[in-house]
Amino acid sequence: MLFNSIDFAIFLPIVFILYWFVANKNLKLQNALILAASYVFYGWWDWRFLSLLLFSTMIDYTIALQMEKRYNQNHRKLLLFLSLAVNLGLLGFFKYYNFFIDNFTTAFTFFGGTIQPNTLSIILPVGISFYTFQTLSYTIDVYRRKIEPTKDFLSFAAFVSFFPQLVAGPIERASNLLPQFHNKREFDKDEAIIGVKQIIWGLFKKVVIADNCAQFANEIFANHAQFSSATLILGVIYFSFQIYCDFSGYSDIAIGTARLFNFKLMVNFRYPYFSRDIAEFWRRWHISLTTWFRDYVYIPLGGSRVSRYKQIRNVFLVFIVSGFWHGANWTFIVWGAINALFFIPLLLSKKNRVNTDTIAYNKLLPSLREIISLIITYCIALFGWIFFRASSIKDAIEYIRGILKWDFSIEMLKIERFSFEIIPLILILLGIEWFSRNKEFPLFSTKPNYIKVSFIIAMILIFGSFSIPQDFIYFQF
Amino acid sequence: MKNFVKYIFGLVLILVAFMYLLDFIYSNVYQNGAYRNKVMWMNDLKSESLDFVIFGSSRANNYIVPNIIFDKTGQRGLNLAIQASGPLEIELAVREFLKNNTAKRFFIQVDYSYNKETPDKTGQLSWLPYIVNNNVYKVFKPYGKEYFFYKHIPFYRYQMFDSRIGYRNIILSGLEKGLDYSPSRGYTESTGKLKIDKPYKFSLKDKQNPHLININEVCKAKKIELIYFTSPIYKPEGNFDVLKKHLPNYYDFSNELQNLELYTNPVHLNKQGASIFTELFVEVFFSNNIN
Repeated sequence: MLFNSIDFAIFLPIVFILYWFVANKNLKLQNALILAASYVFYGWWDWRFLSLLLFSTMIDYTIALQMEKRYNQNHRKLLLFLSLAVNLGLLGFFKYYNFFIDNFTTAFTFFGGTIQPNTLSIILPVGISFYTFQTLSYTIDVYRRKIEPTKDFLSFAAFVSFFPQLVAGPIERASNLLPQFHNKREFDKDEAIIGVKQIIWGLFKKVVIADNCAQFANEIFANHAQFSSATLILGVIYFSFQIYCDFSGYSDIAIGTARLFNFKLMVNFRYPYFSRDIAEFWRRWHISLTTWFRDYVYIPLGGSRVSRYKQIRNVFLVFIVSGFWHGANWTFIVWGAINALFFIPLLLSKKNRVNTDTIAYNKLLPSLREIISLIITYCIALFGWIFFRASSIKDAIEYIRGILKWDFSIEMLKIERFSFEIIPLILILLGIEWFSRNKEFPLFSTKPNYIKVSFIIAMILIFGSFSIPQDFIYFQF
Repeated sequence: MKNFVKYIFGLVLILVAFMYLLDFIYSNVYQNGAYRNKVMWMNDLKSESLDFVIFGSSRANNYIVPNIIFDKTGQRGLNLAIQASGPLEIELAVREFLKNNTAKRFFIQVDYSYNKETPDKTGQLSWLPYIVNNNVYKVFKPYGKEYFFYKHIPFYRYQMFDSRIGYRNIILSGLEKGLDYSPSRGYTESTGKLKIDKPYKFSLKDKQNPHLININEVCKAKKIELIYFTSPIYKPEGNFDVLKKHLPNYYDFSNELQNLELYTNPVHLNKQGASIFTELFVEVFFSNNIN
């Protein structure tokens, strides 16, 4: 079920009413309703994969309980490996099987061998990368004795499948979300109002910015060979806003929806294009994934408290694995490596934590130095996005070559639009975000005011792209 | 909870108010603004008494130049063919034209879309702003529940087809960036170059089309001479004999003009091709009127 669909517009009020008017007296009933709603939400896409979700839930629930019973560290480690093997095994099979077979075949052929590739026609279950990481965080934290395993299967199953963030995050930690399932939720008017505003803001980003940019970006990336440098630059700028608004829009709707049920999810994006260096960018972009890799991969490898060589190795490893998490394609790996290359100099010069505050705090405009830093950081991000969006490394290189042709003609696209037509909408978004950069999201306020919200509703009605519905990009990850 | 419900109710009211307001503005632009499509132009035609009118899709719109016909024969006519129209949209165009105007002869272009009975996804778009009119609505109504919502939910139709009838058209119309159909009397040029030299294949089912039957009846009642024809196609491969069987007064030009240079794609002529075809059209249908 898509957040920007009529189905969800009907589903959400029904669940809300049942939750607060029927199940409000009983915690178990509240959790049971969340679980049922989550399975309906997920099954709406393909009910067959519910079994996978249930299997993953049962495995991690059982393993965590078994871990608690064992005092022998080796036994606990064995159980952790079992959890890792099952979860990553499923993820690996559904997401990476064909990639590895293809690459193995290519490598084998390269060295003169002959082999018949045995690829399979596999459907990638929506959200598998997200809920796998969420359940893994639970078993790892139980292993590390950071949290107690839960004995309440209903709460655990609801935690794993919680519908607002099930298919595209934020990837929640058990330490934050699971305890919320153990406590009865009371209706909180302020949180609910903030939630509604966050949903509206998320919708604005999705249907006004992301979906409009998508039409242009898709057209330009698909036919990049025939476009001028100016159009190609616009194409990657459009993609940068498409992916940002698509994904952060989804996160806003997810967090806002959770707020309606009095759940607090973690912030996933903090105005990443207002970053002054690439390290700051990664503290503001897909925060739930970045911190997941920090806590469960980077720090266990020694983080930055190791030799220089190992620091470089750790950063590369984390960024490349993070890239690979996005999809089974070399383009994502290169995207990760590019980000690592720009991150490492900051780390080695100990400048990776220079910009931890909000840019131009308490000022109307940034300084010239800050503007230059913003532009450089954005250009680095753009360079990475070319690889992220291109369908192959070859396409990405051709795209960059096309930009270097240095031809700045304005063009009409096949979608019967001039290449520059969406720029005013992007500028409106940037303006709104700039003046709200100290808030969690621009409409954040407990006051039930109408003016700003009405403006955003009008923008959605007038400029929202509804004729060509676009899936959320991160569903494919 | 009470305050929250009040807040939601307030937001819903704002949403509904915006929908009514925007519907009012957009509909007004489609009634009075600069022309963004041919239906807008056709709606402004009043008390025209013409010698002929051409109906059909872009395969008529890009093919017949009324000014050439006028120059050669003195016959006054319009090309009211609308891009992507199928038989349903053609019937609608015929009916809407006849509300305020009349003509002696109707030429209707039919082709591989002959069997289509439902609205065309693109062809319907020019008509959707006017679906609130009962005459337009009753043509679309049998073909899906969505048309009920397009008629009754304000602004919904503009939103669902925003890329074609949404804010872009409204802004351009408001800025007087309209399309002027009058100098060419409705003819629009197709641009581009046909590059692929291969047959254009299609297959028609042997059955009547209800919309064309309706057109036959309307023309009979109004005593308008009705002529069906098929415009040239580059290397057509199919069974237009079905059209000959079911349509009165049918002429097949599909095999004419088999010169690749005259096409922008296999089913559209360029400007030069349109001139040549219009001259052929004059010879066949206006031989008695040639000056």
